[in-house]
Amino acid sequence: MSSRKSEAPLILAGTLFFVYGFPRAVIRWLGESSPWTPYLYLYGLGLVTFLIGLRVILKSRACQPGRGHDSAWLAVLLLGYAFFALLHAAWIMAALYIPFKGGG
Amino acid sequence: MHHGFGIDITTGATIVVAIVSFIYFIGIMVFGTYFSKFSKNLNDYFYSGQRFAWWLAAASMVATGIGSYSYLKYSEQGFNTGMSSTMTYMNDWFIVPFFIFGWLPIIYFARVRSIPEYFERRFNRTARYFAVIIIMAYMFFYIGYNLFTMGVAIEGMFGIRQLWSIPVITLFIGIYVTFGGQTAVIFTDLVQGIMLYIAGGLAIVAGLWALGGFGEFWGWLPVAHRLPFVDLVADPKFNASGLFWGEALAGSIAFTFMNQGFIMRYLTIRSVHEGRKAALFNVVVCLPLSAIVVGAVGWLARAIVTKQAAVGGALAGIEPIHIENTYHTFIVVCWETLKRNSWLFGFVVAALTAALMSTIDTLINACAAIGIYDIYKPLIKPHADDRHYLKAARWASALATVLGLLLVIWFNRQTGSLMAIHYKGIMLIIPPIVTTIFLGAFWKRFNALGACVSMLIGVVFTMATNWWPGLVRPLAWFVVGNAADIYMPALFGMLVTAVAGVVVSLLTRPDTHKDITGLTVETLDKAMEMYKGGPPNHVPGRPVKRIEVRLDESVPPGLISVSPAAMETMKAHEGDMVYMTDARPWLGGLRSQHVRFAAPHAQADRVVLMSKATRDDAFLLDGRPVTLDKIF
Repeated sequence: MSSRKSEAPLILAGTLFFVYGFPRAVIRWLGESSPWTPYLYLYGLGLVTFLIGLRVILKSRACQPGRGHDSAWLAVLLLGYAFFALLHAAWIMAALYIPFKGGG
Repeated sequence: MHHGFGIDITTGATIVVAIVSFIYFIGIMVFGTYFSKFSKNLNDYFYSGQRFAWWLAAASMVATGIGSYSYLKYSEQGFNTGMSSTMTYMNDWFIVPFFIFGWLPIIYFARVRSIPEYFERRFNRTARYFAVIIIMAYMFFYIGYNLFTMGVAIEGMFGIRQLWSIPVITLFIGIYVTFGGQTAVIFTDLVQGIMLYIAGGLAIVAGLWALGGFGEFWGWLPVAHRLPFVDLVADPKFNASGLFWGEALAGSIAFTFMNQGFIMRYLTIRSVHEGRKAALFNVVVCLPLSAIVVGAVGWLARAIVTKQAAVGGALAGIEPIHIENTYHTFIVVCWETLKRNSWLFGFVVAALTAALMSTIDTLINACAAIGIYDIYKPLIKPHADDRHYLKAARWASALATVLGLLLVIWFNRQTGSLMAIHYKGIMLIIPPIVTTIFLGAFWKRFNALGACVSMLIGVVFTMATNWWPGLVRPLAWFVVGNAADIYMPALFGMLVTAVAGVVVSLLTRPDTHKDITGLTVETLDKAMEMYKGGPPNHVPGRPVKRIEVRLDESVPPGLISVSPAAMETMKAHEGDMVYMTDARPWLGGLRSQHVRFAAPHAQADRVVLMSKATRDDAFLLDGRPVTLDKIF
């Protein structure tokens, strides 16, 4: 219990640092108008939200791998994140690399 | 000639469109009213007795999630910014862990009937009525907004004044929701969801056909319109940063955690495991498909217009498409690509109507649920019998319909685009309540005082951004957002509510006097045990299918008895919960019930014994076999 309490400020500080630093790092790296910038913003900050969610359900034992169907659902959660991230990445690549007929 | 559509349409064609829409209206009303016989008591009326299959609830959520404004708004957005119109439908995965392992089991096992009821059990009565006010504001906002947008569309199409069209639509919807209840809503929404997809699919196929196939569509769609995301901050009304905070987080939590209509759908499902399947199907399949169905006509419009400009005239087989008012993108493109066929176009217009009806019916039913469980029962008539409450529920549905109708007057006086009115309103209403739900479910230390104070402060500060938009500027800078965008007030409101809630809770004593077992994520094991009335049996078994029913009055009501072999197949023990349903899977659980295992019998293996009362409660038919599936 005490270790959980001491973890909370660290997680909060880490999250705030990431929310502040990550978008700025991405913009510095790719520029604000790159099609990959909003992608990384969504899946970077979204990953933080998602991981906090996983931590909460595992720590609280709401999800107990090995019990009933919980392991399968945990796998579904991880695969779901990968599915959407890969889908959107493939979509961006299809948008960028298939030639536009209008010439613009 | 009638030019109400923004297109050339003859009077004869207009009459055909009106006839198709009218037949559809009547058909749905009769269909929905038929299901009133499956509402025996209040639980059936609002929650259909927690008995439906996941696919039925998930499919009916499709129609609930697509409002009458969706086709118009997203086609317009698709035409303007392209496939990024899908963003609001495809950014929900991040909160799914919180939902399927946190909020869904909490409300399901605690048998929470409404979000305000959760607030009273988790916090206190004051918190409950804070929640009632905010949630009702949210629901009525949606009812009024849907009716208003449909009235606007009808006025634009047929030239009928909203003064006449909206009350008539409201009357039709009111009749089947009032008499049918949740079962009617689920089954009509299932049909309407299918209608929506067929009509959207028809419009898409016609557009692709006009362009010459998918390759031509993609080839003529400008690169910026092909991308799934818009610029990070450029447009204050539609940017990736704002959509993440305001839509992916606040909006998605509101829709999945707080929207009473969706919550009630999940509570109709036969088990939490099945509820998770519904959530998964909804996020992975239904929402992306819906994003395509409502937005694709706008993308096709952009490709057609680009190709027309390049080839110097109309595409082969269709008249030239000119979109002068982007609000009419959907209507104009459908009319032309369907080659001005008034019957097919009438079908598409009926789908627009379906979108309205299926969203509104859920909201009306949900408002009535809150009206009965949170206002009438606890405050006005606490000890009446179930029959009385069922009658009151029907009156509450009628009242909710009328109140929604009255709100249209307010919407009529608003200025600005439909999208601006929508998001501006929603982003101001939801932050305090979604944050309080979240803290209540996932932080045990969050106390009643913290909840009440944080909601009050949250409401005041979020509303304040309407008059002092500069309040959000530091936060927008911190998260690299657009300080002028319409989503930042949601993030600001959530942050203020959370800080107030945490500070007040930490500075005051915990609610040790209150039993909140089963109402927070840490206590779900206990919640499951309380729900079952004994230790859960998590050993996965296999369902026993198509088993013969025999009546035996020695088996107490609510219990069934099967052979030891059947018990072994299901890995079940005496006292375990079991889901018993008519063996025809396509009924989706319409004839089903939760029961418990009595001691096994010594008769034939494929026989289940139960009393007549148990059989009747499950709406089972004489001579029909059943399928049994252990819950836990």
